[in-house]
Amino acid sequence: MNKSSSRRRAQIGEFWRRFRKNKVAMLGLVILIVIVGMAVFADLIVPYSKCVEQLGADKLQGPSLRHWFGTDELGRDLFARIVHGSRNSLMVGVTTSLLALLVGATLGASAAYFGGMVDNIIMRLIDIFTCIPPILLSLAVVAALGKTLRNLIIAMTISCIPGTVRLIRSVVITVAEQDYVEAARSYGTSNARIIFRYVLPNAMGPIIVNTTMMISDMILSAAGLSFIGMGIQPPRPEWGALLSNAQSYLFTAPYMLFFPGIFIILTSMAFNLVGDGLTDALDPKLKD
Amino acid sequence: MKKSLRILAAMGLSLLMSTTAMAAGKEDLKIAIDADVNTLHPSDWTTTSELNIENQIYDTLIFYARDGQSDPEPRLAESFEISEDGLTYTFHLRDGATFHDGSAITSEDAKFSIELYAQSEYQSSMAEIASVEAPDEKTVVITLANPYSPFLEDVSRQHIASKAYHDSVDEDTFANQPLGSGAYKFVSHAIGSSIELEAYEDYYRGAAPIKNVTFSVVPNTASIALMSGDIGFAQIQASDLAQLQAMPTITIEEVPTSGFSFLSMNTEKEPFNDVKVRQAINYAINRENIVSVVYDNEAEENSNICAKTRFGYSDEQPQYTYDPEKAKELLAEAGVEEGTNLGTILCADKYSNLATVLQADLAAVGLNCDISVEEFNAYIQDLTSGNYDLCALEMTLDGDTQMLEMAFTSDYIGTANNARYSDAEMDDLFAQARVENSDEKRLELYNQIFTKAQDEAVYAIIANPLELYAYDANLTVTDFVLEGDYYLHDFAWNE
Repeated sequence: MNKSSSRRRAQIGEFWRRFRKNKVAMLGLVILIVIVGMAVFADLIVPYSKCVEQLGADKLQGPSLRHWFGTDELGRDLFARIVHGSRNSLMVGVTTSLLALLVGATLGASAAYFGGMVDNIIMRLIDIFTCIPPILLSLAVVAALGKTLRNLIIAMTISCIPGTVRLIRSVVITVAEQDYVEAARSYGTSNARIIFRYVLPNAMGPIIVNTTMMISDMILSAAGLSFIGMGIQPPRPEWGALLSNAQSYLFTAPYMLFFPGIFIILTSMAFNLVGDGLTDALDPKLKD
Repeated sequence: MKKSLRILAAMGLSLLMSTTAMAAGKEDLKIAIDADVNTLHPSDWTTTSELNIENQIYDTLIFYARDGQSDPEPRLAESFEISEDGLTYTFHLRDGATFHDGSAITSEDAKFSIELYAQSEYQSSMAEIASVEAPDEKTVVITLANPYSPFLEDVSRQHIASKAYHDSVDEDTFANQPLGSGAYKFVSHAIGSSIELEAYEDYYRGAAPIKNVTFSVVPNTASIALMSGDIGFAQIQASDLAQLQAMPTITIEEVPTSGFSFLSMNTEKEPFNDVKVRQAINYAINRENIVSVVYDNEAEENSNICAKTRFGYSDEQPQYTYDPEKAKELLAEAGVEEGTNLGTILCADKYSNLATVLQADLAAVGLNCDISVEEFNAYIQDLTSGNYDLCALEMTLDGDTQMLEMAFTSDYIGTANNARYSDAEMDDLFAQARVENSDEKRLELYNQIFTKAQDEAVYAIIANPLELYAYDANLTVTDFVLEGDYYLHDFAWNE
């Protein structure tokens, strides 16, 4: 027991050492920490009341010392809205992706590992879901369940499960044919243990990259849903909603588009860079 | 070699000629519309785009500016008489007016068109027509079942179409390839993209100066198309105003309308059934701020449902001003505690800013509520079925002032009476105004109606938004007397 935990620590140390060497991934990690920190400590950075307070006289003001990122068409401080919006955006993005990963990994790995009838049933069900465009599926779910943040997350999770299942199934199929899986099976190891102990960890690379990409996709999807009124309801801020709101002021107040856009891009980029870094650090073949 | 040179020369010459022809007098105009039309049926129109295009294709018996001050102007009818009892309207058609195929416009066509309008499920009229007769070629007699004083208003909206054309083609052709009586002929319709019209040379008021008109479907980007000169005339949003005003080549027209933005309170629900709460909400709203923030000052502050330009409005009718202290007092009297949750403000996406500002105004007097932005059709559904607490929206009940009865009388609960307000006295006042022919007495009735509506704070009316039009500075346009309706016959390019 003691021995195995110390071996694990050594593994993590080795992994961290390799990850640290990747400068670009470290940059991504730093950005990510800053943004997550911003979401966690939003109330300490700027009080929530600031982002709903309407200063009619200050509306559509460009960036200044008073309003760092300027104000929107109702005279609300954009900095405060972006800081507090990060909570909603990240929460939707991260929660949705993790849930989709959980369900997707279970279904995808089962389909690939067991094959045959199980594979057929799971994949045909997934095919049905694939037929419905993801945004339409989310819309239908939100319309049926009601417009709350929780339902939004459920809806988006459902809509991104099919892609995840397909990906994980294809990765697991190749891993499941490896000799060490065959060996584990010959020892009489249980199926669940084989899947979670041997198969999934060895299929981790593509899964992690997919998840990090999915988070950035989901942040954008949430924005799209907010735009058609199915997402987070006003006056609560959300990055995508800030972005779509800025459309009408493209020429007169471009900063309204710029700041939320930059944050969405940075977050999305940071997740991708970290994802790439993780793949490299986890890939045993790339050992230096 | 020689031959190609000659061809080149000919091409150069024709190019030269075409450019000089353009400079001598521009005869084309491109107009942006926000959505394609589904029909050009004379009476089955539902959208503004459809109406605006049909107004060019079809003429009417009379033209009537609905401001309560102007007299009806003759169009296809040279003159008309109204009987003493207000039941019989006799119109005398002019000679020389023809449909676009050259056939004369007769009383049979007018009768057919009036009946078409009366039967149309898309048009609402409070007049009940008993009969339409055509005793001779040039006379149309309309008999009403009950007197309805603003009936001429209806007549001014009835597009006159050809009965012979209707009888000779199928319904689809009749609706989609219209044969009209107006200043412009229908040429073609490219679905989803454009509608082409051409000036009718034999129009009885003289051919229109602009010969070819294209209505182009340009959703959202009309202001960019205007700036690039691609479009000559368009209705625009207040948010586009600043960038267009900066362009010297573009003229902006701000047209007052009778449309109104408001917060509707479901009077069937607590606490909105209490007049004090409704008054308090009226006092809690900072209309000046809404006009400046939500409408970029392109609206006129008005807490009265009757627009200031409309017949029946008077400064003596009470107005609500911004007074949060008074609002708090009234709430205390009504026993509504600070921090009470009023439920949800329902709205469509385009009204979400209005809802957001209203929410902040209500919060300032201690009333909390959430906002629910719904897809347009879902929002309409919830609104008309009464499945809401508060609703932020804009509405237009244009036409005669009598049309406002749709917002107040119990017959219209489930359609336009969004407050679901039901009051026998109000119903009775509107019923009286409907049959009253004397303008003086109607004015008195409307004064009572709007005073009562204000006293009881049936709605929280906020402002009358202006309609904004932007067009090429070289273009002369129509006088916008009718709620932003325009007539291309009045348009011309300046020399």
